[in-house]
Parts: sequence; C-alpha cells; structure tokens
Amino acid sequence: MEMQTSRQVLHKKMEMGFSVRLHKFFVSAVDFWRRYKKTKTAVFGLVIILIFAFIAINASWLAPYDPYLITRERFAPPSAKHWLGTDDMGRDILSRIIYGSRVSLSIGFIIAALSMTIGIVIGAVSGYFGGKVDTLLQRLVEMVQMLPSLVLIIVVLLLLGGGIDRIVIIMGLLGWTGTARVVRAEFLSHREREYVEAGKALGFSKFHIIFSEILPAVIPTVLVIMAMNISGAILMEAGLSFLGLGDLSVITWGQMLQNAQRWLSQAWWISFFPGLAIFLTVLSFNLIGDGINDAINPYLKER
Amino acid sequence: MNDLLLNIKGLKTYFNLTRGVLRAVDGVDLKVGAGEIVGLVGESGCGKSVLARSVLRLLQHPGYIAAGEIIYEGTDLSKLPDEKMREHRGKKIAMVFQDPLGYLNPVMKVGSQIEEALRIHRPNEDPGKIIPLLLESVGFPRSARIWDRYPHELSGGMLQRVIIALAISCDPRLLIADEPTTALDVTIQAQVLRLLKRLCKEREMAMLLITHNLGIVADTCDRIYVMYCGRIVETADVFSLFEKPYHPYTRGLLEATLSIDEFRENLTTIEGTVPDPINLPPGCRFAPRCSAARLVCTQADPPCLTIDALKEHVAYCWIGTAEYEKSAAPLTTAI
Amino acid sequence: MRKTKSIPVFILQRILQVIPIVLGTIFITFLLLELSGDPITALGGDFALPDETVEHLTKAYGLDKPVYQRFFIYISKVLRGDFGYSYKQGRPVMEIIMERMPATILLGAATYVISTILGVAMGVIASLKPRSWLDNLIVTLSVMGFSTPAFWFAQLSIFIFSVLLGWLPGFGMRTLDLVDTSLLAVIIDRAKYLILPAFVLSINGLATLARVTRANMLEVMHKDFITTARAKGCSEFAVLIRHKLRNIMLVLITLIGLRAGMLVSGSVLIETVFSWPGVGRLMYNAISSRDFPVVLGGFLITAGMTIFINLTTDILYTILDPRVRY
Repeated sequence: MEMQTSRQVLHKKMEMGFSVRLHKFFVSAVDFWRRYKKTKTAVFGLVIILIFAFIAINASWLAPYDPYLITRERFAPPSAKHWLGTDDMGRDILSRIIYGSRVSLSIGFIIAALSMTIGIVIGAVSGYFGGKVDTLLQRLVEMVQMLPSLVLIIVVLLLLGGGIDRIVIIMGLLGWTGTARVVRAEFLSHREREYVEAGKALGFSKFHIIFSEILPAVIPTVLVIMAMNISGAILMEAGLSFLGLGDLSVITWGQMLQNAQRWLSQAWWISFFPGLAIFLTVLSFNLIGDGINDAINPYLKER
Repeated sequence: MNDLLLNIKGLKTYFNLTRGVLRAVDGVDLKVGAGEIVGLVGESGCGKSVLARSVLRLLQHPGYIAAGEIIYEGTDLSKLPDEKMREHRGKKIAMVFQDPLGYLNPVMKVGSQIEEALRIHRPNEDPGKIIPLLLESVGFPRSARIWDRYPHELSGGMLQRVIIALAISCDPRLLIADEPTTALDVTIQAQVLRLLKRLCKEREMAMLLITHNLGIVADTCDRIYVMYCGRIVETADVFSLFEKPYHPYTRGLLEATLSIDEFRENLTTIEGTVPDPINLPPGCRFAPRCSAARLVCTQADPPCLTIDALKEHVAYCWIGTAEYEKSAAPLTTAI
Repeated sequence: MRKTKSIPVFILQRILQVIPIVLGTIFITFLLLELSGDPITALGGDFALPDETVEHLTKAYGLDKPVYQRFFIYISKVLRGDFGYSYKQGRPVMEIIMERMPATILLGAATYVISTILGVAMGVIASLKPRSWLDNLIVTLSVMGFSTPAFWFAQLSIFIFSVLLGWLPGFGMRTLDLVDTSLLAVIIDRAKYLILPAFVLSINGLATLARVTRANMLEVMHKDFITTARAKGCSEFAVLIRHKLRNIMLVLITLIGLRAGMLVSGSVLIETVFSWPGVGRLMYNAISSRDFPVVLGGFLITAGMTIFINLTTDILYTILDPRVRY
C-alpha cells in the first residue's frame, strides 16, 4: 500500500502539469538568455540573422529594383544608384541579394529541420537501445559520413534531375550523421540517470521515455548542432548552385557566384557581395552555435 | 633531526581568481631531515597538495608562490631559474601522486615513461638495464615484462608501483608522496605503504607523506604536521602527537580516525564546514568549528605554544594562554 | 591484466569492417544507375535506335538478366576498375580519370600538408596563452575560416593575387610555353600554380583543425600526467611534443580522416574555379555535358579514396593509441 502511494507521488511528479512545465521552461529560457548574451560575438550573430530574416520576409518592398530586370547598365560598379553595382546583364545586385536571401535562408532551415529529424531519431534509438541496433546504425552512420556528400548529391541531381525540392530532400537525407552522433552520445549518458530509471519503473512506454523525458533534456545540445547544420546546408546549397545544379527558376546566392565566375577579372563586385552575404550568414550561424555551446557549458569558457 | 634536507620557511602560495585571492598555503614552516619520513595531515582542500606542488614549483596558472623560502640542501628553490629547477625535479626531489592511472601518459608504454626520466637525469647509463631493476625493486618479477605494458593494461596497485619506480629512478633524496594510497583498495594500500617505507630505508631517502588519514601516518611516519586552511596547526613527533594531541582540530581528526578503526559504524567527523578559502575569518581559522573557541580565538592569530621542546611538539592555539582564560564566554554562534 | 591485441589482427579487422561500406557505396551507385532510366536509350541520344540494335545491346549489356544478377555483375566490374565508357569521349572512364588523377593527388596532398601543419601550429600557439590577444585572433580567424564558402574565397584570391597584383597565376596547372625547362624551373613553375588553389582549398580544414587542436590542447593541459612529466624534469618543449601533442594526435588523426570526404567535395568546386586539370574539373565538365558514366566513375573513385583515407587513419589510430585495441 505504501509502495503504491509513493508510486503515485512519483507519477504526479513525472507528469507535471502543463502550466508547471511552461513555467519551468520560461525560467530556464530567461536564465539561458542571461548566459547567452555574455558572448558578444553570439549576440552579433543573432542580430545579423535577424536582419537577414527581416530582409528575406520583406524582400518585395526592400529591394530597390526588380531583381530580374535586365537593363543596359551592364557592369556598373557600386554607386549611389546601384549600391552594390550591376551584373553582366545590368541587373541590380543588391536587389538580387535581397531576393536571394529568401531561398538561401529557408533552404538552410528546411534542410536542417529534415536532417535533424532523421538524426535525432536514429541517434536516440541507437543511444537508448544500444546493443546490436546501435552497432548496425553506427555502421550506417560511418558509411554515410565517409561518402563525399557533395559529389553524391551531384550524381543524384544529375540522374534524377534538379529542382529545389529534390535538393532539399537529398541534402536532408545525407546531412544527419553529425546530429545522430551527438544525440546518441547524449542518450548514452542520459539513459542511466535516475529520472529515466524512474520512468522505466513506472512503466512508461519507450517512445514516451525517449521523446518526452530524455529529448527535452538534450535540446540545448541539439540547438548547437542545428546552428551548425543550417550553416552547413547554406554552404552546400551555394556550392551546388555554383556548379549549375541549383534550381534556375529562383535566385540564390550560389548562382550569383556561378555567374560571377566568368567576369572575375573585370567586375569584382559581382562576386564579392553575394559571397559576403553567404559568409556573413554562415558565420552568424556558427557564432550562434558557439554562443549556445558556451551558455550551456559555462565552465568550458572559464578555463 | 640531524641533517636538514628541506626547510620551508613562511611559504605562501596564492591563487589569483576572479572572485579574489585564494590563500591556499598561508605562511607554512616545515622541515624534513635526511632520511626522515614526515607526515602532512589535513582534510581535503586544506592546502597540503598545493604545498607539495609548491616545493617542486609545479603550480599551474593562476597559482604562484607569493612569499617564503623553500630551502633544499642550501638552495632556495623558490628563487631558482626554471632551467635549474628542472634539474631538481625527478633528480633530487621526486613525486608520487594520488590517482595512478591519470598520472601516467595513456599512450606511452610504462617503460618509455621511466626511460624519459632516465635520459634526462642519467644520460650516460643504459636505461634497458636500469628499468628492469627498478621494476624489480618495486615488486614486479622480471618475467612480467611490465615495461612493455600500457597504463590501461595494469591495475591501480600495479600502476602506483610503476609510479613509485619512476619516482625513485633517478635516486632522489626526497620523495613527496601526495595521497599515494587514497585511490587504492584497502588491501593494496598497506602493501604500497610498506613498499614506500622499505624504499626509504634502503635508499636513505626522505619522504614527505601527504594524507588525510592519520592511521596511515601512525604506521609510517617519524614526525607529523597537521594542516588546516593553509596553515600548520600542530606539529610533533609521532608518539607525542598521538599521546597528547593539543589542538582541538588534531583531537577531532584523531577521534575520527579511532572511530573508523575500532567501531566502524560509529563514524565521528568534525562538525561544521570549512570556511571559504577566499574569505577566511580573522583569528584562528578553526574557531568557527571549534567547540572550545572563545572570543579571543576569533580576534587574533593564535600564538605558537611549545608543548614538549624535546619532541619538537608545537601547537598554534589560544587554549591554555592567559588571554584565553580571561576571554569572554565561549562563542556559540559559530556552528 | 588486459592484453592489447596485436596490430596485424587489428588491421585485418578494420579491413573486414570496411567491406560492407564499399559494397554499400557500390550499391548506391547501382541503384542510381537503375533509377536513371534506360542506358540504351541514353546511348542513342536524340535518335531512336532500331529494335534489333536495342535487342542486341540489351543482351550485350546483360540488361535482360534479373536485377540481383546485374548487381553482382556490376560489383565485379567496378571492383575490376571497369566503369564503362564515356558518352562524350568514347574512351574507358577509368582511363580518363586516371589521366586526371596525378593533378588531383598533387592538389589534395598539398592541401593536407598545408591545413595540417598550419592548423595544428595555430591551435597550439593559441592554446599556449588562452584569452590573450593572439588566442582571440586565432579563434576569430578560425571561425571565419570555416564560415567562408571556399569557391568564393577562391574567386576573391584570384582577383586579388592574380588580377590585381599579378603575383600568381589564377588558372591552370603549368605554363604551357615554359622556356627554361630545367627541373628547378619546372618545380618553381608548378609551385606557383599550386599555391593559390591549395591554400584556398585548405582554409576550411585549417580552420577546423586549429579550433579542435586548441580545444584539445586546453583540455590536455590540465591532465595529471602532464604534471608527472614536469615532475620528472621534462622541459616545456618535451612536455609539449611528447605528452600534449602525442595525446591529442589521436583526435587530430580522426578529424583528418573525416575531412577526406569534405576535401574531395571541395576539390570539385576549387578545381573548377582554378581550371585545375584534375578529377574535380573533369567531373564538373561531365556534369555540364551530362556524361553519366564519367560522373558515376568519378563518384566511385572519390568515394574509394575517401574510404581508403579513413581506413588509413583508422589503422594509424590503432597503432598510436593502445587503448582502442582490446
């Protein structure tokens, strides 16, 4: 009887009311932000990303010109009229960068979301169950990791045809290994802890333990990889567009660079500014990732 | 004490932390005679390991020697240039540490790690001949070919013996053993202690044995220093200290040790918490935990009382002085 | 007492473990090939081939056999180095790739050397005085380094060093009408062409290595065995080389192995920008002209190289770190 009551208490504790959980979430979020903002570079990264996000959302009224409009002003260097100059077809580079931010940013997010979903599931299963399942999945991770991913993506795109949707799917299918590794390591360390043991004793389903008990605890780490994955995806997409495998129906920064390749010796601005946009975005995501990392492991920074 | 080997005078070792200055060792006098085994006892965090490292100047940033002298055979080690200091390390003073696995390089064979020391300090001799002899002297049969092993292949007790072999490899005259048995099984502890004692006798080597366990000291040492919060509180010949402990802290430690030995379940520890080493209280540092503390104890540093001149028994305590007798009622707020 | 396994046994084990990965890679290409449609129609290009020819070719290529049989035939072909014929050049793919291989290996090796030496050196220097201005500079440079799109960096460096300053050639691999053909002159000529692409291709890896080296150095610095080494009387230099670097070497080797895939991917982009006559450039051209056999062959070769580098680093790792061997 006594056993029963203590079980019930534990049960209540484990299934905390929604409002309590929400409150705890806010407390930890505030605390997290306090530590995050200590890293100045991380705040810089966040500001840059917010600016780019704002630009991407409001592209249509922020862009001074029609990005597709071909004019006679070819190769105009940066000036008051065209802040970042024009390209070989007289199109305004600033406007193209502004429009390009839509694709580049959203592609980064979608690919990261897709690959992280796969990575989390595989990493969680591998780390939680261990044993043969783990060995098998680790071999798979090893194999995918060893493949030269860009080359494989090129092959797939060539054989199956390009298009933004295919790029996203293929990159999502190949980019999950890093996430899987980290999530697996986290699960390995978490599965022996008391709260998981308690959950098991209470007869919670494996699914419930994995996704409702352990996963929230590893979210900070997942956020760090997420930032790195987004930046990796943006770089990769730019590389593909640069090789002419992107979707020609939309403007992307990578394509602008591909176009610039031919005019390197006459018009540096065609190459410089789109590349700078990629660089800043990727750098910002990396800085954000570092900032989150420092915020969740403050002692590492102290040393 | 016949021939003085190590003479530490007024040593202060500080750590500059962002929170303030941590005075880990705060004015310590300590002497080790040639061939003598001296115990340094105190709870963890009292500064005894820092003291040990200060002697060999193995402190890591932000630790530094703020004041004092460390005189070894007439040279002040604290002022020696780095180059000269290295000639002392391993050659004249060697060290044995607490966690044997962590203190050996995991990717080097045990033999190569001993060889490294030999090449520095005994460059003209053949390490291939010395190493088996050394390992034999710490109890490994030659047939075990321990020198061919990696640290992860050996047990804790074996590793500690390897570290001892490494320490004695260049015939040091002083061995500093920092909690050499703490990480080991109880049965192995006694073996390692006996080994250390035997080696000291055979090689006419002195030893400074650092431990939190008075029981270990009783079996092994000639003289004892008791340390608390960066200071020595009492020192004496081993018999004198166990017979007539003077300082309340020493008495507390002894009680704890005895209760562990005799009635295992009834474990006595000294109550109260150690003060924050960055904000140390004025007066005697043990006063907040001391049941005999009076007002004077919290106001001024305790005087040096000679308990037994012949046995060099000295304690730093207010108890028994005229000021103590006159002082106001015992303080009750502390604990 | 645990006994460490002997090295040959371990190497054999590793090689056996690689076999499924190799087969998996071949399977992926086979799958892609199957999915890409009828190769015979592709052979004909825009013409519709007569029925007899189709029938003949189907037999000749073994396309009438069941899928699993074709897969085994494909594996044996690939393992023998038979990647089929290029649509464009009509020559064996293997032959074409092998012609380009030396250039790619030269660039790859130079990149590995630059990124490893510079990256490790920068990481070590940064770790010597944490939080100093030099450390901060290196940390900043390294995060910028792996945020830079390498092909953009390539364009910028061509513009600056080749177009603007005229110091180094920006395209190709050698001067075609070199007057002085002495060995030294040829080497200097090659080196001039190599510097820019190799440096550009190495920046991502260099930055990653610097960062990882620094982090691991900071960690190993506080390990107890470093104190033991000092207590023995080792000089700081000996501590750095024999104890600190020796220990972090393992992490670095793993990383260098993992970077192989990225290096191969990067070289496709960089060789394109610099018109470097290697496999990457070949693949770019094959992509533009939709020459599938060459692209697939290039993929298999680069995947094979990556697996080989990984295997090598794995074996190196087991030799250097006794702990993984039991």
